[in-house]
Amino acid sequence: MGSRNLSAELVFDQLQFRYGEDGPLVVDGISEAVAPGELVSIIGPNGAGKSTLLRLLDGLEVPAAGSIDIGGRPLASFDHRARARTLAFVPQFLDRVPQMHVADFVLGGRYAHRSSWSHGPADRDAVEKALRSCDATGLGARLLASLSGGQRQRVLVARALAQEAPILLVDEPTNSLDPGHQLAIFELLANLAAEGRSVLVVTHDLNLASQFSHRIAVMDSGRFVASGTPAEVLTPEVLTPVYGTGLVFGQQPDLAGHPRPFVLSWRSPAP
Amino acid sequence: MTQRHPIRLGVILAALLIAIALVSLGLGPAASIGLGDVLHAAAAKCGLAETMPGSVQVIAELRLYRLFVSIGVGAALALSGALLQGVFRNQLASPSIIGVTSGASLGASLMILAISSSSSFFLVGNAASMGPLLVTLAAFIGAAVSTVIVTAFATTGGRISVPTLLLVGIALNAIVGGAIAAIQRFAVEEADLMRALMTWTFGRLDDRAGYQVVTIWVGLAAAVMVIPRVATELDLFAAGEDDAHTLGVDTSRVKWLSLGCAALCAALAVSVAGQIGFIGLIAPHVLRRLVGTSNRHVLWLSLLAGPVLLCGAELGQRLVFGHSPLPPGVIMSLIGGPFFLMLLMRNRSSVEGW
Repeated sequence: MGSRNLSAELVFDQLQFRYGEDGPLVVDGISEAVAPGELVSIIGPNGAGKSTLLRLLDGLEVPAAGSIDIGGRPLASFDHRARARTLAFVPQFLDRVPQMHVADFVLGGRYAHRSSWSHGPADRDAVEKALRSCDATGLGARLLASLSGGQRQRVLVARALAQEAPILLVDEPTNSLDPGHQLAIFELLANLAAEGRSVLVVTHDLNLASQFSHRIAVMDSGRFVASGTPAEVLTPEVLTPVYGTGLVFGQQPDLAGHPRPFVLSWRSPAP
Repeated sequence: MTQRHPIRLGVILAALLIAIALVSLGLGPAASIGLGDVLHAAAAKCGLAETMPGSVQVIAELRLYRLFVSIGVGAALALSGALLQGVFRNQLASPSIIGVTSGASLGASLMILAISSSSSFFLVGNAASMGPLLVTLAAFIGAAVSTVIVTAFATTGGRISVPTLLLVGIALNAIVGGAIAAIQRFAVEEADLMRALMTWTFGRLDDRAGYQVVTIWVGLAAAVMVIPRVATELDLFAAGEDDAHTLGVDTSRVKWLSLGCAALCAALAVSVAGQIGFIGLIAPHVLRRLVGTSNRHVLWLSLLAGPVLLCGAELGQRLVFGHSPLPPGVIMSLIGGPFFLMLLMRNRSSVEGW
């Protein structure tokens, strides 16, 4: 497992998608590339098409036009298991929380690697390692339903890590988490990117995106209205047309001491 | 919900089944024929011993057919139910829900009606005529047709919608129920025809023929080969289909395989023994209580639990009522109906979530 190539680029180009035959374009000609080592965030208002974009990239929907390449090959050319070994998806939540133990749940991430229908010690090791990376070692014997929101989110990330995929898609990982856990999740994602993975995160949290992203794309009505470094994107000129008024802009140094923009949702009296 | 010794349970079930089988082989209306005679006849059938004198050999063979059809039918129905419950992630699913069972019954009823109106000597138990074989075939076609209709209605863009499937199944059951009632209305004047139809409606395990044993066992062997291809995958369906897709499961393939196999099993069971309900509901449910929810255990063990349930109920009622037993469909309904209600009471929250 150690020799597995843990880097692959995620590229999508001129992607279009509509629900049904002649519905409106939910995703309307967007392009982006996430290189190994990069964390790219996608922000934008509700209904902008962010979740649909992730469904396209995970192969859950088929684009009407445009291309998706993972590791230099078209997504459509992968069989299901090979896709899951290359690209892992961390959902925002589960459609239903299964009655199972955390360790068994995370073991589900090993499906794409298993040669037979039983699992070996290598799989158990990968599960252990994934739980450790997510600071969730003690949770293995717990029932999934008994976890707190922060624990459940870490377990979802752990299962994606057990897939040992070089590309990670993450859908709104900080929803319903307290500020401490929000930071912890993004630090974890930044570390995973630093290890050489390509990480694409959809988030509503502009400040976490600002601190931890190499680039941010702003999605509105199916299009990218802006894309660039946090300093280029988190500006009144870009965000006010998207989110409306009621934002306050400022700067704050990040861990390395570089200034990063921050954005507050704050109603101020009109000047 | 923990996993408790699936192998040990398998051994216990197998031992139980063998015990039930040996006792029931020795029982029948011809009380003078015991287990020893039946085993001797079985050996003779395999060419290992002298054939028993005429009627003894015939009666002994009938008991063997009864046993092997019962085992095959029990296994097929339990596997069918376990697969459907795995796909639907709902413990209240069973073969009759998607309309397979009633489709098979309609096919059989139509064929019985067709034969009876074209020939006067037809009797369903008459092995000399082509009747039973044709009826079996028609039952299978009925099951296959209803499976195709249900899945076609419930499929859009290569994906099966489970809620739609359930609703289409309900509609199909209603239509078929009406059609069968209409056929029975026409048949009510003719005692033989009515008896033949009833056989299919309430199930029948005695007076089976060799080809019925072959039908159910060959089909079952094919169905068993599906289990290793879907068991792990169905476990990954636990958090929803999209989630399974994310993990690398070819979800539509798993669904097609599982539903096809479930339909095949139910169709075979109905086509050789008529409608016998609730085994597909009860057997997997009890197994889940005993070894946990993993399909890797439940699917395999249902092959033993179904026969234990069906043969056990048959043996039990033979011991209680003597040798003019109630049809197996009736017995299973009397046991299964209350069980189903109990299940509904216990799972009320999940039922309301339907």
